[in-house]
Amino acid sequence: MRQVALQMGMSLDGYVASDREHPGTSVAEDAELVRWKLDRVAKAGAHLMGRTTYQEMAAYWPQSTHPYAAPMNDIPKIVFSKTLGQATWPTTRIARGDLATEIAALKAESGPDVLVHGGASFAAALAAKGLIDEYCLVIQPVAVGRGQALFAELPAALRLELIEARSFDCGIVVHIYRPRPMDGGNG
Amino acid sequence: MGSLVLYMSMSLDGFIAGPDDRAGQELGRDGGRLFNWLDDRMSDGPSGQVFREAMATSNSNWLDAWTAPT
Repeated sequence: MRQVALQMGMSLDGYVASDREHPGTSVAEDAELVRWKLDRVAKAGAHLMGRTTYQEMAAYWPQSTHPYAAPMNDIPKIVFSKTLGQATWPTTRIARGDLATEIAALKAESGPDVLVHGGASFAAALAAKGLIDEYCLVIQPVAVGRGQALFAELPAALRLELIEARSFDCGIVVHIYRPRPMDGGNG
Repeated sequence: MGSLVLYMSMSLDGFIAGPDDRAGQELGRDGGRLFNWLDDRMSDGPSGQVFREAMATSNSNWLDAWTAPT
């Protein structure tokens, strides 16, 4: 069964969106981090996103010459939305069903693990429902103090196992965690 | 001039206490778990390493006093 990995920029105080500044873009990524992220992005079996992030990405990646553009454009995308009429970004389908049901069906398919890119509401909903197998948090050297927190909707504390921690010259630290299955996150 | 260094235990989402932190329920509900790592502070593992680095950072007598076994 394939896994669902979340990969998102986050402020060090846990926010993935804020009216102050985007917590995912506080510093420019250095070349090593770009290579590291590109490796993961290019391996994804599908890119998953909410409607808002889809609309931002669909307007950006087809015209972009950034290294991330090719895997974002070429690999299938799934946008989770009950309201989006159609998806014009090639290789995109719309998932309109119940979140847990759609994710379960996706995990049952064969293929490489899938990557969730956000946005804040979609990621928080997945986290709250325990649907994320791996958290790859790209932690920025910024505290924003307010905004939308990735873990704001958790019904109880979620305990995690640290898989990898790596710091990059640009000041970004990547933490990879997996939920601890034994205690179900209820601490 | 000296620097003031903040050294705190924090959850990965930025909290330094559990919910409902108040007199009589210090650190809030279940907030004590943020400090469970200190139980392992004399070990050779990562908790011990972090603790020794904290102690070596500066005049850390407060930390010594605060974590002394009672």
